[in-house]
Amino acid sequence: MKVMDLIYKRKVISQTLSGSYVLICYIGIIGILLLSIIFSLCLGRYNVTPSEIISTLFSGEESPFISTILFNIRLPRIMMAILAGGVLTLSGCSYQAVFRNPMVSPDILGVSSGAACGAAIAILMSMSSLGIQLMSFLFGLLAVSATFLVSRVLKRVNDQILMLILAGIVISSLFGSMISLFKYIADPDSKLPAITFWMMGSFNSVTMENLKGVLPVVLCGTIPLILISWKLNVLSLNEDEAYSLGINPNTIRIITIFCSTLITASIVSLTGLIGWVGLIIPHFCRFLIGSDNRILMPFSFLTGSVFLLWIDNISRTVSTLEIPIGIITAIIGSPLFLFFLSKRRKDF
Amino acid sequence: MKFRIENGVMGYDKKVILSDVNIEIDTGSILCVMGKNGAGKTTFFKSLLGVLPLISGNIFLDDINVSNWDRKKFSSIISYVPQVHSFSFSFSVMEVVLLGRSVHINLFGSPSKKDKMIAQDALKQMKIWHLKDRMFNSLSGGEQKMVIVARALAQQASFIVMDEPTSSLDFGNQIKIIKQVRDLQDKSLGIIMSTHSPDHAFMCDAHALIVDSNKVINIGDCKNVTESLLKKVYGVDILIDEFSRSCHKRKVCVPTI
Repeated sequence: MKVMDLIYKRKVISQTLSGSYVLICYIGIIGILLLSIIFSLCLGRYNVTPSEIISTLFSGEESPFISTILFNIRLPRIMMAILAGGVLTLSGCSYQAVFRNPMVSPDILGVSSGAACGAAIAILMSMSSLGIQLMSFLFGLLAVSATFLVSRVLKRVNDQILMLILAGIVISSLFGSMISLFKYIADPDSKLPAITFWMMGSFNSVTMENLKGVLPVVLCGTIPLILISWKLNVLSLNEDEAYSLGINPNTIRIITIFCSTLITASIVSLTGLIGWVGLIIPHFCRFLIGSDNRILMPFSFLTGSVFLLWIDNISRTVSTLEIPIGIITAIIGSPLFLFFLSKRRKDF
Repeated sequence: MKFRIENGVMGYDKKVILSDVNIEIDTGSILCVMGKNGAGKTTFFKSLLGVLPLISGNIFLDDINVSNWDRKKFSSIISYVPQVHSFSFSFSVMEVVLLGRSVHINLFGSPSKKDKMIAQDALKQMKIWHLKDRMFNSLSGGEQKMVIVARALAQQASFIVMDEPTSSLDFGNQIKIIKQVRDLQDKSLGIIMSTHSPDHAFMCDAHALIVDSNKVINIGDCKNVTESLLKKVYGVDILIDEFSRSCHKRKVCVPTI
């Protein structure tokens, strides 16, 4: 917390943002990410030293036991945490730009509750893990499409953004009540715990195959988002101003919402619900590095990765029983969020 | 280059707000738009910018009819300095000015070296180079206005529409803005600005346009603005006099209270 206070003071006094400062931030976060990966590889029930990792990675002399732990158990998990943290943060950033509000999280249009509902149905129908993944992915997309449709039908009010948010609330609560219904009728000995556990989020069952399956979808959403990030800045202006700059804000909004929904749904379908990351990390990054989305979005991705990697480290080491990710992000996220709120400035 | 509106009817949907609009402006000249609050200046500006399509009538650029151009094409000939500008997020001054390049950058692109050079030139032209790394939202009102004008310059359009550029600025900053407007005119840009002070029109040697009760009255040179006209538009008594001291010579408005 002391460090953060210093950062805030520095920025408040100078109120400037120079290129070299941005560069230092980037070098810093990449360094922290690399160190965190190495540390996370060592961390776990069975102790592996950094030198053992290096010898397993680079020279042929490897003990099959250590390489199994590293490559089949820890590495997929670490990679998943990095990917999920990055993606959830990136889509949080995009949603915040689209809705011109730093307090928006990626599930505002109903992607999470849709995905959870899909997963609940799949679990209820005893589908395979691939089936659960597909169902939750499809339902995530379905929920957001429904939100869009509803907001179009209610077009009578001029404010399109407000209509989207209201439609999102309605659709989310609709899917929420369906989840409750499925939980109510689920077999309390097997199905109910599975649904509940899914909804708390976990990297427990992630394999290399899962990762390979989800990566193309994630790339399909992430690359356009990074490319369009500069144009996202224009959304921060009002409609007339955006048009006078030669930009159609609706085009950018639709592309952005589509891509962020795609990547969020694909991650959530694998890991279950993980809240808070997409809300607080973009917030923190904006404090640190400013609001230019071209600089902010890749930086947020990296910071989100580091954050979720550490959350997962806590989740798997703090007790013999693994603590679900979603619970830890909430426990750590909510006080952090309050802290950021208290530091909120006028020019933020 | 000449921008012309012929027999324009402006308004929302079917509701006519201004009819019979005939205006013409050249690059290298200033057009001051005056009129009381709610007379339809905003509608007039939205139509100029192509945000609000004309109900009827034509817009010409030189002799090309551009009435059917889409908004994107419009923004390459007319840039806009809005009256209020609030960013929901805080951007640095350089980033704000770079946004002016949007129309020249494709959907998935980002600013090139050349775009950055143009933005830097715009900052230097406005003499606000020293502000480039500052956060826009932390600047004073006058500085913010200068930055937005720099953004309009970076857009490299031939005409700039300014919606009350002097509103809510202190006296000194008002004069600074007017000075800048005159500099832009010298750089052969066409400027269309609205103002509540006829003095501003006198200071710029501008052409005057008065928006009054659903009509746009073309006054021509602002020297033609008369006391009776101001009385009719604003409903108060205003004297117009010639001020002259050494080389400063121009008309001034003196409201009688």
